[in-house]
Amino acid sequence: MAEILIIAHGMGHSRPGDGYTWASLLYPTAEQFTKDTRRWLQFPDGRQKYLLEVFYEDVNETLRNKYSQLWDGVTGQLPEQCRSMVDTCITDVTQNVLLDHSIDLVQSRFVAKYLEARELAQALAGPEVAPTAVPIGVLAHSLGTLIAYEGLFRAADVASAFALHPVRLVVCAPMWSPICKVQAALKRRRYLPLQGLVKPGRVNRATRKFEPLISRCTAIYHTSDPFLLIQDRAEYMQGSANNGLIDEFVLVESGNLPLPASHAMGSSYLTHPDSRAAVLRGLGA
Amino acid sequence: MADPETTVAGRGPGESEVGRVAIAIILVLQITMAFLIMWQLGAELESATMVARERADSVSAIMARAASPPVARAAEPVLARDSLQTVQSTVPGGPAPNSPRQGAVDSATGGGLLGPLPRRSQDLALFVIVLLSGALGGLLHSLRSFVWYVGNRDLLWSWIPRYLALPVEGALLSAVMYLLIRAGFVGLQGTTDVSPYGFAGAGALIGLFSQPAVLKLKQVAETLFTSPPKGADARPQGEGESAGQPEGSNAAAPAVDASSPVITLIDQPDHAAPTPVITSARVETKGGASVLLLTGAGFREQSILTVADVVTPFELRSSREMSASLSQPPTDATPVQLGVTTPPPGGGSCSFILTIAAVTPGGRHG
Repeated sequence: MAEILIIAHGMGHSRPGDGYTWASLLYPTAEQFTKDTRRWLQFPDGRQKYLLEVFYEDVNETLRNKYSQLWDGVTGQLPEQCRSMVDTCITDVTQNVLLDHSIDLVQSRFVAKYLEARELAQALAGPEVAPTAVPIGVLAHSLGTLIAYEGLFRAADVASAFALHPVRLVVCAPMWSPICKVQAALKRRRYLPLQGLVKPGRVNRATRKFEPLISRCTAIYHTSDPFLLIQDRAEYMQGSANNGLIDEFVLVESGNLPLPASHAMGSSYLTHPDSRAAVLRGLGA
Repeated sequence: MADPETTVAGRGPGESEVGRVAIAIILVLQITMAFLIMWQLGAELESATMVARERADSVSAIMARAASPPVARAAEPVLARDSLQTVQSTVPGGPAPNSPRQGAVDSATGGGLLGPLPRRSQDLALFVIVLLSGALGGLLHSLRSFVWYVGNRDLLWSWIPRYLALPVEGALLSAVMYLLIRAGFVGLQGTTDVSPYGFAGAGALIGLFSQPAVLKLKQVAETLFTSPPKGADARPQGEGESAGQPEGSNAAAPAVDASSPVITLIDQPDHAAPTPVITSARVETKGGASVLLLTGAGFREQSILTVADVVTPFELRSSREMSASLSQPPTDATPVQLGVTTPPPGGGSCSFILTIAAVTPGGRHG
């Protein structure tokens, strides 16, 4: 049976296709094939895993360029001694604006990929088998973890009841501190509650049962990661908080990876044997 | 599977063509029914809209009172929340007492085929609206098909019952779909504030396109229950269905299949080459010569290596490793773009940015 993997990168990946590199690092025995817009891993045992990359760095770059053009004009008129101070402000504003306004657009790209994965699963399963028989995994890193998690909430909003397809989510260097703190830093709150994490999904009004969009969530972090935003892990630890994810949420410490490259996905989380094994377990191999 | 042509020919009454008088009678009957249903539907919609508007006005009034200054509110003996609940509980059965719109509502419920309508709860009113709109949709379906076949001089008596049944079928289908929607089995999750026009539109669509609606119901049933095995004479909906039906292409069913234009599945020849992927790159210096070492996957003899857009000969060590001699080693300041392309069948291309200071597979930042 085929599988599907959605990959959401972090900020700073200027080229599309990095996700395919991650897939090769994660599954070194498989070879990749491409046809038209479809990309997949072919395993020696005949298994196939379809790859869908959520690329959004162009959104960041567009906004970054607009702001740098604007502020280049402003700082050009200032005396020399003021420029460093204004540059600091520009950088701060740009980063905040990037995070605050681009995420909405980027999440819509994630939702589009999720919906594509769902339709692909339907096509792969065929008319006689439920599409949920085709597993969908989501691998996200850094800013991509925020986009993927909130994107799943949006996906639950737009998907119809029968098309809800639970995913196995693996987040590396999650931007959760808990996530409410990230949102407070962004000066807005979207779908998530104040404390801890709640599963994206919906209550089926006919059966009164909660149908989650995440069947298992694995968070992999490195304690020395300079971008790690988990500050209070207590709410995610097994049995320590009353949130809806506690049964599926697994925290993995990826060990002492060499700095300063510890935040990069390719050179740390996917190459370190412990974290790579945890990613594979989280995705269901 | 049964042959559609032989299935259509069949045996039974009604093989003769319909005469002029019968055509005229059926046409007049259909048009009359359409007007009567529209008349009644209009009255029902107006009544339901009035009730909804009255409810909204009542809620607004309560909210306005709740937002008034504390001094004014202190004189109110009833809490806002209690008042809201009181109003909401009374609305389904009728308007709030002494409502300013009371007279308007009463006068609005005097139209329609059946005369003055009794006051109904919102749910019952919606149910009636859905039934009527479904019948209207079915009637439209029937009318279009009827006129088409009369125009083609190809109308047989055997199809007349179908035309008469279509409005009933549309009404019943709409009712079933309405129940499923309100129960939460299909779409529209969490809606408590419903628009009668929305349900009327949906009902009319279901009546007009009854076969896609039946397919949707089939999906619902198959999700809830075990699918039965196919019978010997099973003929899937959407396959040759239009061959013998008077409504022809109007009833084409959007069957879900793997050939959907949105999804392209793999149809790759066995001898297709894999797509190359570079996972890391580094430059080693041996005896004054710089050697570029690439690791990844999917490298082939026929692959083409480019270093800063210049085609460069390489040595293939394995499908996961290749090396090339560099005449000009890259410096720290100038990142070099590397590319590997494998020609079809299969194949593809990949790129990688090489920096001497730090080789960074799979990206740099977070």
